[in-house]
Order: sequence, then structure tokens, then C-alpha cells
Amino acid sequence: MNDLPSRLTEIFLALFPDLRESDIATANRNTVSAWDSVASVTLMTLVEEEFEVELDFDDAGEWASFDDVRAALEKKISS
Amino acid sequence: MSALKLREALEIIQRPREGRRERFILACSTYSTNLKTLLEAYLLKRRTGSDVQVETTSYGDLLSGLERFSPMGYAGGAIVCEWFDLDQRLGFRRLGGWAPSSFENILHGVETASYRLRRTIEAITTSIPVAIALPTLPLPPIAICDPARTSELEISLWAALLTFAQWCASNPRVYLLNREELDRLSPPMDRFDFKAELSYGTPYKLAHASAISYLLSRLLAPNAPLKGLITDLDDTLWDGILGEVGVDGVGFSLEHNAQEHGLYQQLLQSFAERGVLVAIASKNDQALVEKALSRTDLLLERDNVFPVVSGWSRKSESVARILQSWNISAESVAFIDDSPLELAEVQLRFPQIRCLLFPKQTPARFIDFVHTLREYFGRPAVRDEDRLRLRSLRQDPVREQCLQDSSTEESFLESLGAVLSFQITTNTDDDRAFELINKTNQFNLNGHRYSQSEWIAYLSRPGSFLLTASYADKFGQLGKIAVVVGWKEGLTAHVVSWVMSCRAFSRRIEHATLRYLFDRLNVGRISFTFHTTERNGPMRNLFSEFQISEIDAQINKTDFEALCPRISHRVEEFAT
Repeated sequence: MNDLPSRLTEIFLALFPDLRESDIATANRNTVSAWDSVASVTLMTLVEEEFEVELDFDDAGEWASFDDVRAALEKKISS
Repeated sequence: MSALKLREALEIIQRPREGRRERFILACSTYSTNLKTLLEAYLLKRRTGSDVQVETTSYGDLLSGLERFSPMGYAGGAIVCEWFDLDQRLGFRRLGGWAPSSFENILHGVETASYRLRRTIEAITTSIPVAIALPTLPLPPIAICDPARTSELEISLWAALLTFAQWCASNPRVYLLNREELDRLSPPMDRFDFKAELSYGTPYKLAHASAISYLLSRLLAPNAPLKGLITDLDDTLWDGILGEVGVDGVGFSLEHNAQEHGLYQQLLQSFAERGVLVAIASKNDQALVEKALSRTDLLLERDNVFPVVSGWSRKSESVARILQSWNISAESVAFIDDSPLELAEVQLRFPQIRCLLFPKQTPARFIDFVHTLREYFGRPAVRDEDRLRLRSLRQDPVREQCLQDSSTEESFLESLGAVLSFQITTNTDDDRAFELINKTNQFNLNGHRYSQSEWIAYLSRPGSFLLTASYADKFGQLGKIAVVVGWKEGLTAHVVSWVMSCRAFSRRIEHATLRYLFDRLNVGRISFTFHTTERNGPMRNLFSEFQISEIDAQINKTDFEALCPRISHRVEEFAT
């Protein structure tokens, strides 16, 4: 659980290579132009693959920031 | 296979690119971002040095997307076709009726769509090769009978699909993905993501998308098949130690509880008939080995093995002698032995050779072993040249002796009764010429390799030519052994590629080829697109012989004739 932010950061770096690592914690749909609906689906797939969890498409579709993803993931893992 | 994760694939495709750009098209009606990413990553891994780019046809309708696609500028295409692409009622995203009254119409829809797909692929493959995966997901539960029973509808749909698949497999430019190999990598019950299909139109679980992409990449960027297999004898080609149990004591059948050895022999016989060189490296008494190899119940014919190197020296010494005899490099060869120690000793001396442990007394691993050999040696077709190779190698020592017995090289060459058969064409279907260009290293003008689309595009240009040469002499045929590609411009022939098989060295075939080009094309000058490579020393030697500058890289006819030694071949010309 402790390494969740760093693993999630790696995912964001892979998906959005133009982002600087220092900007990832504050990344959101408004600041990342490449974060469109296609990227949302890919992001969800990447998170499922990395953390070996099954996520709900509807919830994932509403992710709008790094913090949203992190919070959803922490909730999923602790449940 | 080490399956790529999506994150790894993203990292691969985001690395800086260099090299020649190769564009591939992926046709797939599903929401195919992951497939595209994975296919591009696998192709980049296989095409090191190329800037691979995968593009997709429009989402939603496979057939329409393909029909609108123009292959100009692409290196290849990948098609992923599911049942719902052949009739939408065979999917879950359209509600079109599963009533028995619609079955006949669904079958008709599949047949019609298969025909459209065939016509489209026929058009595309005039320019580029196409790899295709036919339905990888199960049919929906459309049939009305108990799932335990196969319905007539299901079989009829499969029959229609198999008719199309058979056409795909028979077309040399259509590479049909092997369903059994896909089953091995991606268990059928773990493929379909029903929830994702309904939500986003992405029916594939990630591991399945990765398996499809991996296999498509292998079809579009195949490894060059290995040329030679060196095998041990004791506890490998047969069960038992020949020196201990004698000629009649070694076994290779069910009765001897040694069936896997018989199957291995059978496999090697099949390889030999397909042109793979098979040799033996064994620590044994030579006379005893010859006696054992003459057993009439052996499934590998003695004549298909060359050379047989047995004795008490290190295995790596035997392997070195075999490689020298074959005149091929270690990277094109596999070495099979039941002893890890022998394998390690050979591997140490020849790091590029593929060393493979024979699964002695572990039959469970035998199928994997055979599978690996098929991966190493698999080739799409058997050509005459493949069959001729062994015969010509067997003649090399006789030829060498004959050369030593001759008073001069001239008299030896004249005594050969050599016939060179040239053919000038722009026919892009000459697979042997394409293969030679892409695998020859030593006598190679510049090392340039062609993708199939580049090959087709080049030879379609006005003024271009493809010259091939076949050779035969009193020692036998070598088949098609040289290829020249270029174009004519006024009184100059520009040669952009020129290769000759190393089996054809020392026969002045290259000299005869130049003369033929001067005469047949009626040119006064030949220029060459020359580049030095690590291994094209024989080409540099020819340049040196004719005093051709490696920078300027051209020669005129007067200089050629002044420097050319006597050529004694009889030349034949084949019509295109």
C-alpha cells in the first residue's frame, strides 16, 4: 500500500509521457490535454493490470485527477 | 513468449525511434487502442532499427474500413476478425435477433462477408502482406439446443469460416494466425471481457489482446528460419549408449520404451526433406556409428545426414568442423544434446548457436521441445533450392579434390561444363529471390534488406529490373544462387542490390553476371549502391579485382573486359 503513489505515478508517466514527474500529483483532466476518453479506458486497464484489481467502468469514467484515481484505488484495495 | 504488459508496451513505443519508418495497418472493428499499442510494441521489439508505426482503420466496421484502405506506403497489414464482423447478430452489442427463423440469413451473412473480405484481401495483398486472426472469441449462445450438443448452425458457420480460412492459408501473402498456437498462449475461457465489451466495445481481456498482438507481430516480422541442426546420438537420436549396448542395443520405439527418440528421428527426416541441414556430432567410435546409422529401421535416412563427425574430441570441435563443412555461421544453427555439460561447452565457444536439451526420459517436455524446433526451423514453403543444398554440399569435397588434381584453376573451371541460366524480370512473386536478398551476408553489395511491400514497390517502378541466376555443373545443380536488383537509365545500369549465395563462390559467376548485365541491358557503365558491412568481404574482393572504387562504385565496359578473367560458362536465358 505504501508504494501505491509511486506505482501510480509510473502508470501516469507511461500513459502521459509529456508530463513531468513533479506535475503528476496535481494532474487532472483540465491540465492534461491527452487525458481524453480513450486515455481514461487505457488508464483503467493499466491500473487493473498493475494492481491486479477489477474496477467498475462507471466509477473509472468519472476519474478526473490523479487524486481521484489514488482515492478509488485505496478504497478498492482496503475493501 | 514473454508477454508484454500494457505498461511495458507503452514504454517501448515511447522510446526515441530511429531507422527506416515502417507503417503497418491494423484493421479491427473493436475499440482497439490496446491491440494497437501492443502490436506496435511487439513489432518494434522484432524490428530493431526500424521506426515502426501502427495505424488503425476506422472503428466500428471491419469490412468497410478495409475496403476504404489504400495499402500504398505500408509495410504490412494485420486483420483481427471476429464473428460479429461477419454478421453483427453474432455479437453482443447489436440486438438483431437470435430466432431460429434468422439462422439461414445469419449463415448467408457470414458467407457474404467472408467473400467480401476475401476480395478485399486479394486487392491489398497485391501490394503488401496481410496477417489475419480469424474469430478468437466463442460464438454467442445463439443455438437452441443443449450446449453439450453441437448444432447444425454452429457447424455450418464454422464450415463457412473454414472455407475462407483455407483460402487464406493457400495464399502466400496472407499469413493466417494459427489457432492452436493462440490456444496455447491464451486459454479460450480467459479471453472474453463481456463487461468491457458492453461498456466500451473492447471484448478482449488484456492478456488475450497481448497474445493476438504477439502472434500477429511474428507473422508480420518473422524470424529467419535456422538452416542447420547438429544432433548428438546417444540418448538423443536413440536411447542407449552405442559403445555399451552395441548397434542392435540402441532403441527408438515403443517396444524399447524409447518412442520419443523415434519421433525425434522422424522429425529430423521431415526437416531434412524440407532442406534443413542435419549433421551428427557424437563422442563415439566412427566405424560403430556408421554401422548404427546403416540400420534399416532408422527413421532418419543416412543419406540425409551430412556430415557425421564422431570421435573423442570436444563437442565444440566437432561442431566447428560441421560449420566449416556447411559454410554457414553458428547463428543459423541449433545444437541438440542430452547432456547439459556438452551444451554448455558448445555454447561457450559458439555463443550464437541455439543449444537445446533433448528431453531424455522426460516425455512431458517432448512436445515443448518439438514446438521449439518448429519455431526455429519453420518456413512457409519448400523450394527446389532447399532440396538441392544437401546434395551440393556432399559434392564439395569431390569438387575440392578435382580442383587440386587440375593443373590450373582455368582448366578446372573449363572442365566443369557449367551452365548459367539468367532471367530478367520484374516479377515480384519470386520468393527465392526475395529470400536470397534478405538472408545473404557475405557476397552482398550493401546489406540492405527489403520488406515485402518495399520489394513490390521497387520492382513496380518504371525501368527497374530483377536479374536472377541459376547454376549447374557436372557436380550437380545449385539452383537459383544470385540476385541483382536495379534500374537502367540511358547507357548506365544502376545496381542497388546484388547478392550471391556463398555456395556459389569460386566459380566466376559474379564475373559472368556483370558481363551479362553489360550485354543484355546494352549499357556501357554499371554503377553500384555499395556500402561496407561487417561481413561483405567477398563483395569488396570483387571490387578490388576490378579496381572499382568503393566511393565512386562504378565500372565501364572497357575496363571490365580488360580485367575480366576467362569465363567458361554456357549462358542460357529464360524468358520472363
